[in-house]
Amino acid sequence: MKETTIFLKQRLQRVHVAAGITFSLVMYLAVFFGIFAILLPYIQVWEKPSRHIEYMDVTKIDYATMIDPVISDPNFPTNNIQITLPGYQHDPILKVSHQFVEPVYFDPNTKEQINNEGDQSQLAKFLNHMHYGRPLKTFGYLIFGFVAVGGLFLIIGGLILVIMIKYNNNAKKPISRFSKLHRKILTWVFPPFIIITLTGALMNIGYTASAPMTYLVSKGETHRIFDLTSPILFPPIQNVEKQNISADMLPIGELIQKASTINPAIDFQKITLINWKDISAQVKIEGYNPYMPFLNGISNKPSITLSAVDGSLIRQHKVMDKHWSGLFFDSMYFLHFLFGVDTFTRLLIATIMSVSAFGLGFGVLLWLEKKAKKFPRNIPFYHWMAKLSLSVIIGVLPATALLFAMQWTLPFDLKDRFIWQEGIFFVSWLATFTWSLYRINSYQAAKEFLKLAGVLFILSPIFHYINSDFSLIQLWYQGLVQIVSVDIGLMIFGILLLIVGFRLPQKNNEIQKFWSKDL
Amino acid sequence: MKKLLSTLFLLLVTNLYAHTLIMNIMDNDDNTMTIAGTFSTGQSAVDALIRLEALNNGAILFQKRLPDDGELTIAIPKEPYQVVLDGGPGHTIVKEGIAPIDGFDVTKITEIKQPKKLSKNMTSRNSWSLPYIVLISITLLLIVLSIYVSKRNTDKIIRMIQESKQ
Repeated sequence: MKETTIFLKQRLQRVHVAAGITFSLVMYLAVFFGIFAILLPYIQVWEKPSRHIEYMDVTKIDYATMIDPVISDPNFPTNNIQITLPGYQHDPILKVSHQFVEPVYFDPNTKEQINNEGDQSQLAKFLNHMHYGRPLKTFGYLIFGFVAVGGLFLIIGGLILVIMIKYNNNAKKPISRFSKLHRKILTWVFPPFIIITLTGALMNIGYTASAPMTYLVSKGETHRIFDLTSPILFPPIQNVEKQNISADMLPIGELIQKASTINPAIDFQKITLINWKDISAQVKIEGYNPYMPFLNGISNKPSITLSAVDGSLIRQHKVMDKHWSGLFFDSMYFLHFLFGVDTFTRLLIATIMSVSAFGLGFGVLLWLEKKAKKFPRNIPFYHWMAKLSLSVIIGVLPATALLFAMQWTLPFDLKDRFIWQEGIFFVSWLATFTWSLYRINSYQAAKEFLKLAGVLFILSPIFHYINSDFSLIQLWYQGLVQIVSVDIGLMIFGILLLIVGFRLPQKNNEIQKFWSKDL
Repeated sequence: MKKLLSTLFLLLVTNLYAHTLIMNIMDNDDNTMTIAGTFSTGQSAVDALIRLEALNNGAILFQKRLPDDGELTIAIPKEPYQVVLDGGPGHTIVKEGIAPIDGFDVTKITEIKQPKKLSKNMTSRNSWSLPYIVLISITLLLIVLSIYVSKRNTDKIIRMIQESKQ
């Protein structure tokens, strides 16, 4: 019995190490870019000149002046027109859109149409895409999806190991330090980390892989899971028969106020205009109820449907009116998407994810340190995995910093601007791999990457001030706090990287001392 | 292994073609045609714009949004044309227009002041534009450089190991 337990421990540990080192780098990237994805609402406002405008109270906006000319165009669809209200995902603009037309954007302060940067500015979107492997399309989804599945195995397996094996937490050697930090961090962050990884795996490969089961369950009707789930999770707006009698519409601001009176708990985000200008016209005003987190925000959107003619209540959908499967879906995905949550919660989750990234990094360091022990002390450790890890884990920092620095240095009218930006990002990241191989001493290369990243992150807000014609003080006094926060965040992150870059040791004896005592 | 790969391929294919727009043009054999727009999910593409463009000069011969039943029956133009289903940004489908019973009248041209560009099927961006050429060249250079420095440094380390053994 005792021997069986020993074998189990040994095998579990070996599998954990093998799977861990295989999945670690991609998992680190998913977490690293996930931190930026958490901060996406603020970055997407920071990156665009058109978003450097003040936020307006949604009930005080003169909607008719902006919307009427757009929807009066005979070529514009008349039904299911979507109005995204200012403040949705921290975006200060008003957007009029329809599934089949190019969206139109307005500055609600001036009521003028604004020139959206569109595909020319995609920094936040790109960082989010990097989080789940989208640049590699289906191949990327599969890789990141399988890594998420591997992550689940590693988290559970790791916890079993922590329970089964009595580790020594007091040893001072670097190898013991890495082991302790890897175990402690990932044990502490395991509850949110496992939910986020599980939902990530589900999104990247779960839906695709569910095709055979969907086919069986639907008795051969469909192999697409969404054909079965969409009618429950995202029911389409019911068709309202048009009367073909024109009527005056109540101002949208007034309709929002009526909706606020009916359900004051909802933060309204979107409005759908149904049969607009017809006597049968309705508005569906939907949003997020911040008093019931985990239960709404993704598939479950509390809404109020009013008659656009007299403002009478037609339908109300409260958070708990959703089918239980929708409530379960939202509660599972809430931590992954963080729709509608406040800045504090976002920063908290971003911090947890940053700590998790360190936990993964220490796992890789532990594996490398074990490999390095096989070589004599006086011989530098020159291993392909060490160089790849260095480039992926630390090299991604200057590449990302360059991405931010380029955002406000590349002209917005440059042809193929975004292709240049993402291309330079990938090339510079690859260059960090070349540099890692060039430098025999990995710590020296790491110091250089950290310093370079620090300088570029510090320069990003400076380039922003120069090229946006907004100073920090102007941004602050105009109430553009989100943008100021990103500038300050980038500056602080850059300074931290510089400090670490200078403090990190380079010589072998200093390295041993650093990991043994200095922490 | 083959079975595993083909299952994986099937799964990918089913995912790739989810929720794409489809345009069907049916000849009613009475000089009219019925144009239907649907999503691959079977859902009707109500409100998507149907446009007939003259092949000679891009003149718009007809345009209307799909009504609630998702299909339009219209007269077939006499001049050569193409049918465009404009499903918004990134979703444009273009198909060659079917000819009337007596064939096209090539002499008939709808006059417009300035010729217009014909719509094209939305395809992926031009793979060989300037940024791609420059960036791929740098990538290749970096790969070659990586192999070179890696070999040079590995040789150096091997020499050091050999020297330490002596």
